[in-house]
Amino acid sequence: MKEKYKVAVIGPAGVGKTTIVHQFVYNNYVEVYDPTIEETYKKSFFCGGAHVDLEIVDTAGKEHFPGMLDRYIESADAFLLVYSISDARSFSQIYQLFSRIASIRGPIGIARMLVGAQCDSAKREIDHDDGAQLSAQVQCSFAEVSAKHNINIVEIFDELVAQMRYLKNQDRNRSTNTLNGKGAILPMAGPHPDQWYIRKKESWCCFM
Amino acid sequence: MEDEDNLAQTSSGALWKNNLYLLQEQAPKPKMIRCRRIIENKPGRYGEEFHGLIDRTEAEDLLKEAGEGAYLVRESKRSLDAYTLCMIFEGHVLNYKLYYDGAHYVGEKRFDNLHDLVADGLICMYVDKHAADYIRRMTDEVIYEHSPYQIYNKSVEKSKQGVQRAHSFAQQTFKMQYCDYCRNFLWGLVQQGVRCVDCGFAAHKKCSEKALMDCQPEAKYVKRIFAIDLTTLCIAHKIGIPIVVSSCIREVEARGLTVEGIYRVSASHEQMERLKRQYDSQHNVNLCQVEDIHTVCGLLKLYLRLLPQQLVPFSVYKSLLQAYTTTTTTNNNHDRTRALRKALHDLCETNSRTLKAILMHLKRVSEYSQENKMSAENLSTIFSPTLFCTGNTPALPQQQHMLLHFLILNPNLVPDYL
Repeated sequence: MKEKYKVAVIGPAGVGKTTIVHQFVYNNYVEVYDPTIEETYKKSFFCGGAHVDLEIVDTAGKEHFPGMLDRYIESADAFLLVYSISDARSFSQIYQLFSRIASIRGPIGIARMLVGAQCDSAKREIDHDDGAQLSAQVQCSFAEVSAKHNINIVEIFDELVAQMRYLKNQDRNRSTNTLNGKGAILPMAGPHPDQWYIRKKESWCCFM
Repeated sequence: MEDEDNLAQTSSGALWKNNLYLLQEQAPKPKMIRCRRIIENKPGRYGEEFHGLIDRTEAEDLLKEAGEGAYLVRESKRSLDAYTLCMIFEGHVLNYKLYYDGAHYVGEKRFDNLHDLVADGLICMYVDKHAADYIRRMTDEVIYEHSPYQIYNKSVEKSKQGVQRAHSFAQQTFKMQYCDYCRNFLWGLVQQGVRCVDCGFAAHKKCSEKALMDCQPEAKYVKRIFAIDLTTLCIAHKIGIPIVVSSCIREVEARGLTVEGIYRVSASHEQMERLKRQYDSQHNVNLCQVEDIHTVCGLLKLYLRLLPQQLVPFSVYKSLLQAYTTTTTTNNNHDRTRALRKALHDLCETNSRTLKAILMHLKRVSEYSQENKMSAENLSTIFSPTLFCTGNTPALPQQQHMLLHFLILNPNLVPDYL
């Protein structure tokens, strides 16, 4: 059976969520700003030796109906939390999103990724280190991306899929362990999560 | 509800905080913008608010003309079969993707009609806009001893059982309700908060997460008698052992002790069902009027069978059996009673009391075995599957029977509670 995952892209208004999704799905860059209401995209791509079907929900950053964010959070397998490196306000709102996810889905065991968008921008307000620090605090991986120059776009989705696979494997191991009751730990698919995040972060230092 | 109203009157007028209620009243009301054109292939779920394929700016103009609270539905130009709810709030036109799965929704809450969806949305947005800080703080600043739930429980004389019991909160739609935790109004139109199904504690979802394990079930919320957790039932009715158990025992001891085959002869299923329904609706039934005593016996067995958890849960059963079997060979009664008594201590209060009543009753029945032909052995064969939760891998049936037989002969092994 083909793997299927649902990814929700959330973050404050105007940080470039839609451009990231468009660049990933259609390989083009949207120039005009038209606030998103809510759009779902489907993309099948090759990652880590197997095809996966991704359903990507591009959410509204601007207008939130009561309970809408909670619905996104409850229904997705993974989250892309996006802020803009040229907008300090967007960065300050990110932490709230993390704590909302934590309160609904638990603090760990869910695939999340912090993304600093528009890293091609000349007007930088948030340093790469600030983003890295926040990601360490909430224990998730982090990357700065540019939809305009197609930098790190495919990589962030690769990373999310890797996380989701890792979590799924871990789940399966846990259930088989309790089933046979012998406590035999099956080999994990990949290193320990802590090492795993550190490894990712190192390979993704900012290019500019 | 009545008690809560009294509470509000008797205490100083400031028990409930009504500022959020007043805010809700000020929230803009929904105004549907009717579409004057006839639109083909309009989805059946939408009415006159559906404007078909009009673009964003046209929708904006219509809404701005109509003013605060106006709303309409349009078809999305970007994707097929997607519909957008447009509404105007504080002068801004807002667009949301509208979903339908038998009920309309945008966020988490489901609605039968769009008018309610918009009304609820407007209330929540209005309250959030004008009281966001207040709402954030209100749950944190509560002193639990001063919460209406605590005050109310103290004011009513209750048979306090020192049992730590968590509330069983469920989503609820209220008509007009204040939070039993923070005293504030539960704003919104539907699913404004949660209510504990056993004691009626009503609260904001956020407040309910902070409530303590102090649920005191009440009879008016615990509707049934049969098929209900024993402790919940007994606290709710302020009694020591379930009414069905005590009245069946009383009735059998009054006129059934010498009846041959008591508890063995099967009863009329129909009559038992009728009695069960009477108990569930009236909470008490006069068993004197039941002609056939076997029906009363059958009712007691039915009651025990329908408990969500058998009277002796698996963990206690396991240790009882262990205590019983490990002491068999030594043939020393003193060791055995001590081991069984220890195992029985893990039984919770209500179950313990009920088990003891049943055991003493069965002992009395067996004392008449010359006439009723029901020895303690016979009785334990009948009752052991109903009383014990033996799990998926039952021990030898023989062992269960012998264990129960021993308990019937020694009901005093079950600890006493006041």
